[in-house]
Amino acid sequence: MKVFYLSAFLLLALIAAVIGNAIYINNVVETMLTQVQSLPDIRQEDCVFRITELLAYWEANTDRVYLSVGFLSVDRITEQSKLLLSCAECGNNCGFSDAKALLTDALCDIKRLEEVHIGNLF
Amino acid sequence: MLTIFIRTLLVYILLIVVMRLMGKRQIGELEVTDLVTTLLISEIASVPLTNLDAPLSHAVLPILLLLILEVFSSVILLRCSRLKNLVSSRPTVIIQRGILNQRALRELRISLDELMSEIRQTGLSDLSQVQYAILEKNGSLTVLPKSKYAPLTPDQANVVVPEEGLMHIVFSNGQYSKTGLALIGKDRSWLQAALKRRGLKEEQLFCITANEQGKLFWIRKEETK
Repeated sequence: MKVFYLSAFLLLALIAAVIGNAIYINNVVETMLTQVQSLPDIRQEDCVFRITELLAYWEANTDRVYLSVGFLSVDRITEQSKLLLSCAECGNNCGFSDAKALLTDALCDIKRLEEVHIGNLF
Repeated sequence: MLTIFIRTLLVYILLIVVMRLMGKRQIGELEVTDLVTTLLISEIASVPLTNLDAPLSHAVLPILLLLILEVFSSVILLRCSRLKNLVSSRPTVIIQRGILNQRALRELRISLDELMSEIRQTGLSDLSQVQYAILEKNGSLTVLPKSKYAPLTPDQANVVVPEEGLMHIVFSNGQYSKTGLALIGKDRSWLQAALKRRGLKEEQLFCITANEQGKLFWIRKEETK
């Protein structure tokens, strides 16, 4: 029975870790999405500053996100964030819009993986 | 991770149902739940080894969950016989009192050739010699011959045969085995005295086995050229 109680404890710990991780990932992604959606026009002065902030926030969380999210998905967000920054810095409006759309898409992908719905499970 | 957690749970249940429906032939020596766990763990464990894009947690989480499910299922099945009957199969009598149960044979999808092969492996040559044949839960066939085809036992012949205990290794690689000596209820000094009585020296011996009655068997070391 000792093994049974240990397993029960492990199960509870596992469920807590999984739910905690889902909340954390969701939180990070939501914050990122909100920041991306509220990015000002490329011509505005604080656009580069806001993207730098966004990138800094992402890089601060990357190590923890790497623990549970596939490396390719994480790298995709990093790449698109950097592309967004370089487009903003050189004033490439078209590239900026593309990078913003792709970043939103990549973030939604990670969010989707943590959601429980039929389409995701099967 | 949440998706992986629920997916593991679903695949585990699905595999148990599938294995149960496949019947005893596919199980081998394992219980259904054991087989499913073994099958899944071996597959999942290789994921982070070969796919460097997947974090280790993608393998650790399902493996831990499977371990927990395995412990839970074994405890629950032990306490709930109805559920046990549902998950793991029951022994099936294929030959009862010398009569072949053809329906059971059909249901188990066992051909007569396979049955004959199993019977031959027990030392019998024909179906007519079998009193009982039972397909056990683990997929092995137990064959009990009719009395006239069964080997004569000392009891039937009214011969008294003394019980010989199991032989244990008490000396090997030049060292005495404390465990082996404890199992036969003897100690090192007893063995040394026994060797002395027989004129044997430790350095000449490769190994010694002994039983509770003090019976010794030894193998001498090969001479090195």
